[in-house]
Amino acid sequence: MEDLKNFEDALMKRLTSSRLGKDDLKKVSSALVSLKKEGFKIDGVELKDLSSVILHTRGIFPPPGGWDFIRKQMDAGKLKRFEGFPLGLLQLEDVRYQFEFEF
Amino acid sequence: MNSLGSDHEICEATGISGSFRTIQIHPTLRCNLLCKHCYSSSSPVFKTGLESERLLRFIQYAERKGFNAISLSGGEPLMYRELDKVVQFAKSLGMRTGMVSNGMLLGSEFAGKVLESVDIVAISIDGEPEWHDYMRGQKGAFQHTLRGIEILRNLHKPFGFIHTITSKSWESLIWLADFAVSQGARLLHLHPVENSGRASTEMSDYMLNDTIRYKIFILTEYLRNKYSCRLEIQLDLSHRDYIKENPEVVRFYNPDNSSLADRLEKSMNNIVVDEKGDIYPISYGISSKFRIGSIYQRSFEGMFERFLEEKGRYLDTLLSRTYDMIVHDESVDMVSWGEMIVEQSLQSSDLMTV
Repeated sequence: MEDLKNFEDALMKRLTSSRLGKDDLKKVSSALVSLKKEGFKIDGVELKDLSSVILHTRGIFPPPGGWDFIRKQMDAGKLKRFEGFPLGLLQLEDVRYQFEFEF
Repeated sequence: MNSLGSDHEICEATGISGSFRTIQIHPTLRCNLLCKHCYSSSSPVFKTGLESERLLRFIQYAERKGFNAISLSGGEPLMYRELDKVVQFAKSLGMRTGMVSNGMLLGSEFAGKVLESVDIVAISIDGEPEWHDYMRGQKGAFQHTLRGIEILRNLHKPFGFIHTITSKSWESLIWLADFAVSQGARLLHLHPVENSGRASTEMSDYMLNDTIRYKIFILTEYLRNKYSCRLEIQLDLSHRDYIKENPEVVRFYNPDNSSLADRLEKSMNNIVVDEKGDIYPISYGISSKFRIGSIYQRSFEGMFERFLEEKGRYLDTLLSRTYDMIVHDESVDMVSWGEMIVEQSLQSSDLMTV
């Protein structure tokens, strides 16, 4: 409960920061829409600092949209980090993925 | 606006889902409050309401034409003296009944009678108590509304919250969603403040800019996940990329696989009866050029068919134009498409001559 409150306080602090500009928000919103379009479910939005966002998502394995989608994001230079876990998983329908996008 | 176009999964567990063709009825502009954000400028000075016999006659006709739900708004619908007759009649036809209310009058005997025939109530909440009272122009309004919510809970009547988002209230969205769940609401409908009615003068400093719209979108995604199937969250703002992929959000049909007849029929899933008894497609405030008819006319026979024949292609043009405007204007990502359709209908003087 305390963790959740801290997370939400941090999220609001970032969102209300005057240093977070329209272009940054535009990129976060576009990333959200593109992940949803591919079939990822959005679990959380973490504005890590003022230069990147981590989107916590869930989906099937292999990732919705296939590896091509991930590769395209990487090639476009927007996706800084991508992780899927747990590894060695049994339940292939509900895998957690983290995308870290750079602004 | 109705919930068409909300870009999220419909959650069966909230009991909100379903396929409805809705008649949105504004039986009176009379209201016990004088809210700053009111798009219809409702207030206590209005005394009149629609003639119920005429309204019932129209509901019966529309039901035969496939409309299966009514949604009552206003003004405050509980100040319409014949509301009980209207909801009872709609229920007797097997229609789904909903009502948008400020919740302050739910304790009356009359309200009890009305609630027997209402399936779901949407209570307007403007944010935390102090802001709510400020917006409502009445100290203590929030506490009154809380008592109304308690009545709904005691009656086990499904209810949701409807919130007008302003450039100030968006910062309370996390509080609002928590509050909604704690009160037992099943729905949280977020509607951007509109630049019309009283809001255009009283709320000009609180309209949403692009930056705030992004923030609302991001927060809503977070909250949808947080409450998943416990609370259905509808946001009347969509991302341009989403609309591009799903034209039916704005056009009510997919132009790639719909015939004109199908397109027109789908764009008539939501009709409005305004306080004058005039009937319009899509949304309150749309240009009078798109008037379908009136509840006071002698006969309704052929009303919808005539409208589609005479004005259907203009309606189609209106929706296509709005869609094109959204997808081609890359400077604006987050759009309140409902408001845009209304604006476009009022601004396009050439619409009926295309």
